Amino acid sequence: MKPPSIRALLWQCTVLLRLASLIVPKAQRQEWYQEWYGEVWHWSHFLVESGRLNVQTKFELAQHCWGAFPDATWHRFNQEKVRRSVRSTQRSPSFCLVSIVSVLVFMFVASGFVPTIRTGFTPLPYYQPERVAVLSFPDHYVYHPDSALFLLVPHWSRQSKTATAMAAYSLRFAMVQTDEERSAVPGVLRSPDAFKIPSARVSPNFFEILGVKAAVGRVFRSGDQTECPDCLVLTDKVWRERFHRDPAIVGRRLWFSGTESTVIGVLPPSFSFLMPETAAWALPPSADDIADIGDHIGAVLRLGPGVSAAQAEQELRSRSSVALDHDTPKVAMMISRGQQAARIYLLFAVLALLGGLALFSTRLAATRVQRIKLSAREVTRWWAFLLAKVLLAFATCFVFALEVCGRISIVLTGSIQPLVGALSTWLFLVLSMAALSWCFYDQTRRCRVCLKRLSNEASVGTASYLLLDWWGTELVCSDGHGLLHVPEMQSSWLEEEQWIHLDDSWKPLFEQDHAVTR
Amino acid sequence: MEVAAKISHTSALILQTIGSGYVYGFDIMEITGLPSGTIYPALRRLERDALIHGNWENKRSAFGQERPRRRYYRLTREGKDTLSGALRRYPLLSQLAPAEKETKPVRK
Repeated sequence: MKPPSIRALLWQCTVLLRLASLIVPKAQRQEWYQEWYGEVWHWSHFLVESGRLNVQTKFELAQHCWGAFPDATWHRFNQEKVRRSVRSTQRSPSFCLVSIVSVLVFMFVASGFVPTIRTGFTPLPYYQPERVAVLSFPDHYVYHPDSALFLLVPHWSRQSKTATAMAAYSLRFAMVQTDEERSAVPGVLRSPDAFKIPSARVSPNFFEILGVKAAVGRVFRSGDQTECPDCLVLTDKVWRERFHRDPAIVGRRLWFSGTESTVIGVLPPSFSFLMPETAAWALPPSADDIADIGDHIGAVLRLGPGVSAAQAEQELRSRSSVALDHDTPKVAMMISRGQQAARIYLLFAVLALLGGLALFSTRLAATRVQRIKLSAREVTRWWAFLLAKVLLAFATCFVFALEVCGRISIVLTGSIQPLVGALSTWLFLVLSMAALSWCFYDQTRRCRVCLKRLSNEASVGTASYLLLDWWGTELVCSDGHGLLHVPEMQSSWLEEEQWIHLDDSWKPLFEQDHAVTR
Repeated sequence: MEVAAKISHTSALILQTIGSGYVYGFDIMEITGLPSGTIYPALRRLERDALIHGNWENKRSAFGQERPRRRYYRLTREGKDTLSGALRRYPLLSQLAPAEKETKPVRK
């Protein structure tokens, strides 16, 4: 029968040890507890039997028992295991996908939840948008004089049987300044060019054809060219960002291209036309001055019911070809920016995919041949992972190209420049090509069975024999599923990459840990 | 020797203590003065790296005396080599060497 003091002491120690043992992995728990309990049992008996049990020795024993926690933690999370686990996680296919998703989410958040893409995918803010078409001159649109167009379009409109109404537009940069900005000493704070913003001159019936009403004040109407020739309509963005939602914006005097103008209205936030960055809208100058240059000119058409763009184009082609110096007019239905972007980016994505396939076709073909021994499930998993990776990479490139280009333009120039659209499209192509190449490369460096990234890279052959390099490289799956032989050049050692499947007899070699780290 | 070069001072001290015949956790703690939270994880690492070998006391002798079994540790051949390397690396370690334990516990 144990004396009460030992029983109490052992009970307290046992509670601590039992608690600590919960940290130890189940397989080692019993043995671990036995060792600790044996030590504590002997120690406490020694203290009692030798008459050395006092407050200080009890405290020392308690300290000893608390030491079981670090030991138990070592069993569960020893440094080497954690390091190995991190390394293993980094190589896993889920880590790869989660990393790409994280980058994507970061860009979503950093860009303010993709405003450009959201705007692009909203429907056109026009009345009956399926009847709105655009006449443009794609063969000759840069620096084209718009004088003729503003005179001819009303004439075409009257004669046209396909369009019920037409209005001309001319997109260009114009200087928009307040009185204070105009009177400030140029060059001290901002150069005069800093006040140049994308703007447009349009026929008075332009907004009427689109069926757009102003959010504040009014838009242009027929007769404004004589009654209000220097009127100005601003976009919601300019009103918000440059004029801080000035409630007295209607009637405010601004200098537009050196002419004193009056703001008559602000467009709704959802409004956008071909160049969504267009910030100020004015009427064409008087007939005497009409000899201006537009960066991008054309006309907007309200087609009759059931009339197609092709019919309108056919009708207009003969007249415009004579009038506009042999330019070929093109009529196209207005489609949302989302549709435009979808078409362009889909085309570029297909181009990138074809380019990537051309680059990696031999590798992928070789991979397929070597995968004969794999089950249908493993083959499906392999392709599904590649597909998921490619789609996520494309989505990331898409968001980056569309949102980042706009942001950079705003930071550098204060507005989204017209070049941004083309730039972002080409950036998307380049990025997606790079991303696709990486996806294919990464896929060929993964285990064909578990999809983990191969490790333990080893150079094979003799150094400096082949253009100062080795013959090739060998990689191995950390779970022992196989080896990958990669020749430095196709003729150096092997014809192409070779995957050697390792059977289960190799498993024990990969399960043992031979690392010596203290 | 590469392995000996990697061993820490604490590990060398524990190896030396075990080599001197102090073969279970409590004994090693008493001699080295190191806390249990240091000693036991160090013993696990040394055992994992095959520098020491731990085995349980004979069941019969322990249960015959109505007490739990203890786990005893002894140096392996590699452990002995490592210890001699460590003694060369840490010359002052030999001054800390505990006296050889006279009575060694019964091995199974």
